[in-house]
Amino acid sequence: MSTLLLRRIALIPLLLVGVTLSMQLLYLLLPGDPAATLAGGENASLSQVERIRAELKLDQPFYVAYWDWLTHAVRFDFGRSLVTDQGVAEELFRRLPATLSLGVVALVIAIAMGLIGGVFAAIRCGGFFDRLLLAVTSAGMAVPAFIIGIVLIVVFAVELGVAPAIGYVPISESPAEWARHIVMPAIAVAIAPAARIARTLRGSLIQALDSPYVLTAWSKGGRARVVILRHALRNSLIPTLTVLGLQVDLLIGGSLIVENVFSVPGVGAYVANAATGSDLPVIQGAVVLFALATILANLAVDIAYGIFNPKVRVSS
Amino acid sequence: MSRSIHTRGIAWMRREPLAAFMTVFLVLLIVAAFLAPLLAPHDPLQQDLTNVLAAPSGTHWFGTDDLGRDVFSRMLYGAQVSLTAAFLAVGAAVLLAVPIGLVAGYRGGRTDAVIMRLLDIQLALPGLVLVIAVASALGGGTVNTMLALAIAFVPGLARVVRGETLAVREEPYIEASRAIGTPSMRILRTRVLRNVSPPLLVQVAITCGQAMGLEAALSFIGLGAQAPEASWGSILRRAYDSIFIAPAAVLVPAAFITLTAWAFNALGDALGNQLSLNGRTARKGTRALTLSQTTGSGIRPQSAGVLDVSELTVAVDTDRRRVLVEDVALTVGRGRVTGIVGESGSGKTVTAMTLTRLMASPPAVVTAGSVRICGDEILAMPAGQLADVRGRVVSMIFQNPKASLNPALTIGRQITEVLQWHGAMGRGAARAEAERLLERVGVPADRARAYPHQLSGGMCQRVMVAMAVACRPQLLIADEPTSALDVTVQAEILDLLHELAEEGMAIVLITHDFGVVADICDDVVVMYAGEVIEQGPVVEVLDRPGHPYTAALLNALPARVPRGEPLAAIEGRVPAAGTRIVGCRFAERCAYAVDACRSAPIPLDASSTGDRQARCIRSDELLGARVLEPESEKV
Repeated sequence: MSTLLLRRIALIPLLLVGVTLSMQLLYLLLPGDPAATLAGGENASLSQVERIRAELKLDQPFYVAYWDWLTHAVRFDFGRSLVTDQGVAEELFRRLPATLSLGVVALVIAIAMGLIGGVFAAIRCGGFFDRLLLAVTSAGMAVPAFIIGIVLIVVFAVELGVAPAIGYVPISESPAEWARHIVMPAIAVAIAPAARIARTLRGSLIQALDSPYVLTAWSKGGRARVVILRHALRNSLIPTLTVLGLQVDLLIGGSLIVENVFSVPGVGAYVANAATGSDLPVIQGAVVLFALATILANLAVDIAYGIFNPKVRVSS
Repeated sequence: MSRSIHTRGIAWMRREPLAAFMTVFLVLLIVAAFLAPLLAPHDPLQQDLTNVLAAPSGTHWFGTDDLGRDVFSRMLYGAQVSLTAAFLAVGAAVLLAVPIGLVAGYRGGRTDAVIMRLLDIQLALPGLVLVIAVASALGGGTVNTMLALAIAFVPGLARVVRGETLAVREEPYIEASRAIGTPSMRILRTRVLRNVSPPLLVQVAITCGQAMGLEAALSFIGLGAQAPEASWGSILRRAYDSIFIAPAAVLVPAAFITLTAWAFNALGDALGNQLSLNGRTARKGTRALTLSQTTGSGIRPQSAGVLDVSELTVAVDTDRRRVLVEDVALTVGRGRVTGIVGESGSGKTVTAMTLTRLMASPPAVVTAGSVRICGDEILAMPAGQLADVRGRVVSMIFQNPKASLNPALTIGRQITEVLQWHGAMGRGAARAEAERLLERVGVPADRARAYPHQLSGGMCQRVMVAMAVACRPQLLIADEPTSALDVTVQAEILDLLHELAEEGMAIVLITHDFGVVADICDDVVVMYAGEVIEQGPVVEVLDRPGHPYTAALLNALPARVPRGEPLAAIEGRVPAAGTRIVGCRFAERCAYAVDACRSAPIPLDASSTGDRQARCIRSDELLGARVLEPESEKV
């Protein structure tokens, strides 16, 4: 373990405090009387408004309210939803498996597509496939995931009828049904990360193929497969890994609306619903979860970095 | 002037057809959105419940929605809403981000650290989550959406500004400017902003694309534009809600959101290319995957040499008249060391690389000649057989040992793999053999598990030698193997090569250093502008050069010039590769050139004494008279 890594781990709680503290500032953005707004505006009963004010400590300075939230949050108590009155932590935990399975499947698809696309474009650099890939990835990085999802539904569910349009089946219930339901939303979420991975890999692999050590590998009598996969690809994975860490951002952001489109009962759909109802305790709880996922993903990348880059590993 | 802009514009369109198309699309879209009230054929709010979810028709180009409203008109007005939201959000974000980034980058130190830590918080949160969180607190509506987007965009833009400012601040001319007391504000305004603008522009274009997507996402889940106002996202939502009744209806808003976001991205990409921020990659062939083309070379009598090169000519594939190396002939026998000497650009490395067909092809292509190693024609070999010959029959050592070893693999692994590729050796046996080889070249065997970056340059070159000789090849080609090394290490590597030659290995040594040639070579080949201009036994050539160029090179050696006298530099420069020269290529720089030198090609055996050949018609005079009278001074 390097000291650098330890320092980054030590920074995680600080980052989480930073994120949640800035989320606490959202209460200051609420128009009018915050408690009344959160209770549902003019239709809210007075008792409801006062209950929310007391529960969220809205009558006190925001740091007092935050401290109250934080002391509960460290015990995994994120408060209750203002709309459904259910515990936020329990709801998030219940919805986590669906979101996780969507994220993992999407990540696998993204890595597979990105690797294959990037490698083929690099070894045919300047050729037809390469130019096609550049154009397709330029589109792939721009299209919002949920729009890909909608188009997939139109084509494969409504017109062709080969996949279910919406819904989700837990893997514990039926792995086959789970796969049938997860594949379209996962592809929708995977496109943008796949495009980025492919582009980064293409660039670094072209550089690696042009490097002196690859020339050495050819001169030793390496076959194309060995030279490209063992000598060049191994080194070009290092910059690709960095980009991989950043893709968690896209995976989470993508799944947020994609879950809404495909009616996947996950964290994303939960947040999207809460957002339209200004259900801030839910938002704040979900933000902790998303931030933690992002931070841990980047940490995982740092660790993987050492495995692929001996310079980091040995000097640590 | 306008003509040049015009032609430059056309050139740009050719180079970036996608971006050019997207620019036209964006301009048309913005104009159409601006003129929506004039262009819209229907009132976007006019309902017609007798004609809901209609397919496209003459009156309703994009059909109607679930309330019978004209989708084309709604898309036009929606474009106004979506584009305005995106532009204003990005504009506001830029206004906030530029000062933040400038201050952080220019002040540096603690200010920078604090600002960066604050911006880091945003990194821990996916953009869409941040936007949704802020929008949920602010409530729905286009204005709130813009605010939420702006807040989310500030950190990303500020980072770009800060990064560029920091880079510019370190530039010597800015430091000089500060040193002479130019006020900070003025430096920021005049110099820093000018440098920050291009990358910022690229980031702005990409951010606009993101804004389109994010706004659509917000409106899709019900935040963002509120009815009756409709953005593309909310139009998409309505169509999506009727997806089972009229599935095609989602395609219109989906296509426009996609195209517009893509357009901004493509524009950002093209701008980046234009400002060469993206480091364009030129078209390049994968080394050795393409067969070099050979012509000529009939059946040749087998010679006793390990390496037999004849009539070798290498040109540039796009323009075959651009010849890199012409008519090179070379024979190296068992245990002989042949040096190929020349300045940079003389074609010595091209020759060396072509011997094992490692020249990148394209652009290089062999247009004529033959290269035989142990009797086998290298230039006509199928790729599989070639891979079998490389490393087993012929090996190479390169100039930069550290870069030539794979940084991600241990040196032991890099040696064992050659043994395994060629020797059908088991893993354990290969490992033991690798350790023996390392000891042989003077690297402790326990270093087998080290990575190249843990070894010195000299050690790395020893490893390269161990790797190259692992399969006991007949021929070793060393391209400037000692140029990057210290003098003492140089001598040790040369000793190593000398030992290998004594064991019977044929060696081709590419160098620009006559000292190295004198040390270990038996024969020497002097190249100039792609041609061999002299070759022969080292003792003869170094002692009594038969070509004025060789003589001039030798006279430029510090060791050969008496103390206190100036070194004789050669006037002029090597002609660029592919320059057509009829006669002697050195004539332009030669003090002894006469008209006959320039009128016809000079054959290599214009002068030959014993084993030595020189491409010079005055060679005999040069050799005869100790000092040849320079032609230029004769007048």
